[in-house]
Amino acid sequence: MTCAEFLDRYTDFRDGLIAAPREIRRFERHLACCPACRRYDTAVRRGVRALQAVETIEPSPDFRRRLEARLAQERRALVEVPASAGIAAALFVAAALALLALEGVRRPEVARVHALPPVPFPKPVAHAGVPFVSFQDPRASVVTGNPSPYGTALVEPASAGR
Amino acid sequence: MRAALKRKTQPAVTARALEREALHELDDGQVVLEHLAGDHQAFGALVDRYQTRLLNFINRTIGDRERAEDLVQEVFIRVFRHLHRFDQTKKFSTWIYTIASNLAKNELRNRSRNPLVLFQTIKKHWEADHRPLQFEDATARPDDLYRKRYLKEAVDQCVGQLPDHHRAVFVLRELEGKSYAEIADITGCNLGTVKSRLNRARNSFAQLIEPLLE
Repeated sequence: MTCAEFLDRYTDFRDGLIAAPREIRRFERHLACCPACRRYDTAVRRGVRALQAVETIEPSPDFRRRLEARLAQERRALVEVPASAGIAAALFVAAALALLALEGVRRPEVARVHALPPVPFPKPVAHAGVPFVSFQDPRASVVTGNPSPYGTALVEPASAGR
Repeated sequence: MRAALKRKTQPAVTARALEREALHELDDGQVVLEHLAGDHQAFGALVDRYQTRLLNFINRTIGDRERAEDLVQEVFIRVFRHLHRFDQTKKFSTWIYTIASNLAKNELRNRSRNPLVLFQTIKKHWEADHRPLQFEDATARPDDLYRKRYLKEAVDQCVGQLPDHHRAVFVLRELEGKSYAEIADITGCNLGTVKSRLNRARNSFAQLIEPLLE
């Protein structure tokens, strides 16, 4: 095992995530042979032990009193909110009912739609061939006002007799 | 008369103490359910469990004890407001630590934008640390006192010198004992990022602490 691999996978080794016994032995062999990595491992372990041994700080004596005062305010606010929420809900329902009633009374105007012209249906052909496809020059189509500037594909049915 | 009054009040106090005792036996999820069911002592049980842990976590992350207390208070207020929306299928500790971590991150972000706040924090700690050794434990030997105090300051400084996002992951893993998945949830990163930051944090920590341990 190289030092680069050891350092790269050190987190897994330290946190016990290396399950394979062969892999664990590789790490242990490297630690036994490499003074630099051994120093590194020792520094991390001793440093963390020293950190864990540092006394934990406790909250100040008035911490709980201040917190209880704030929680009491929150509890009072919770009691007031449901009353106002009920009034708002009632107003909302009343407005919704009023709108429904208004829509029911009004008669909407039905727009008259003009009849569309009949669409000519092409006559069926007994022996239909392959349609002829040609392409118009896109430059010409821009001049003549074609909305599609990328050219137009013209498809003529086989019955056109080309 | 006094004895009768005393006898009258004692059962109420004992019942309250028994209720509190019973709450301490429950896990976090059950205490949350008790609170939502209307038990006024249940939230206090959660505060008892987490106040010290959160204070130490936030203090280590932001390096300011007084401000850390304010943030811990803010954590509990937010928990109180949103506990009814807490997903009972998730771990409560992950949720509360996520709130704490976000508040600590915001605090650090605000500080980096305001140099005056940072200067005042450094100045406050500078004065507080410079107290004469003779007022400490008189029964311990002077060199032991010095070594303990020196080591305490040294490891604290080393942790304080880690980049903010590395420090949070390092503290959650090494001091709070959180798993990678929990750290990922708390910090809002994926597992790969947690491992990478933890590795870098350990590298930096080892480089800083090694000369001081000799």
